[in-house]
Amino acid sequence: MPVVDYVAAEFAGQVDVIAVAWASTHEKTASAARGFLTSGATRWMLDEDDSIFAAFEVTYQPVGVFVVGGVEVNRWFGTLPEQELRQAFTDAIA
Amino acid sequence: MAYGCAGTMLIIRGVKGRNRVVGAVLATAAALGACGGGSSEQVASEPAEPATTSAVATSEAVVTTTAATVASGSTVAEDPPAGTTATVAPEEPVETPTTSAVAETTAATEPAAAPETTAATEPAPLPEGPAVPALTLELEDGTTFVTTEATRPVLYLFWAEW
Repeated sequence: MPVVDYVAAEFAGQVDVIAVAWASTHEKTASAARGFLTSGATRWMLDEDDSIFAAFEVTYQPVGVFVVGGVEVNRWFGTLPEQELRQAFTDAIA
Repeated sequence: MAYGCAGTMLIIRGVKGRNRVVGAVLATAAALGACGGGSSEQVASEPAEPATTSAVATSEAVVTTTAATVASGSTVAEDPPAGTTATVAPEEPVETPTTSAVAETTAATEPAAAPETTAATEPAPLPEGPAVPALTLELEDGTTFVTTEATRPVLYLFWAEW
């Protein structure tokens, strides 16, 4: 998560980053977000009823989904090395 | 057309004196009569000069047929007028192909330009893949984010606090 937020800050204004947290308590999620999402480039929300995870057909985490022009163009499971993550951002705005 | 008018004059030797001048006048009249079908002033005046000059310069009398004779006789059809018609006629076909050529050129140019315009205005092809679910996300910062109304690429990062 810190790496994602770091790269998101590099592409601020070009890519929107929305972090959707799996059902948990708001307090715990907010606490974790304050520790990981420090740049302000990543906005987040709590998926209280898992409906957003279900809509994106995500059954576990972490998962990244890139959407361009309303279409899913890239999806990965687990964490990506910083270089690959940066490349994914670059491909999305190309 | 000038050749056709000159060709309508018939010269008859053997007439002298005053009749020579009258003949020249008649020759002019005949020429004008033969050119009656034409609408140009040039056509009517050109044949008159050579007819008069030849009548005065020569010592022999010049008599022409009447305008009626010239108009109805076969001379008009057989002599220069026929050739004139043949000479003038090709001018029109020459113009017609020119016009056609212009039209073809225009026609060939327009279709070629159209694809360029179309290609220039065509939007970039949309990326392929599943459509994003239509959702309205209530973000922690108090804003909402509609997934289908995003104006730039979006990374949705699914995670958990544990």
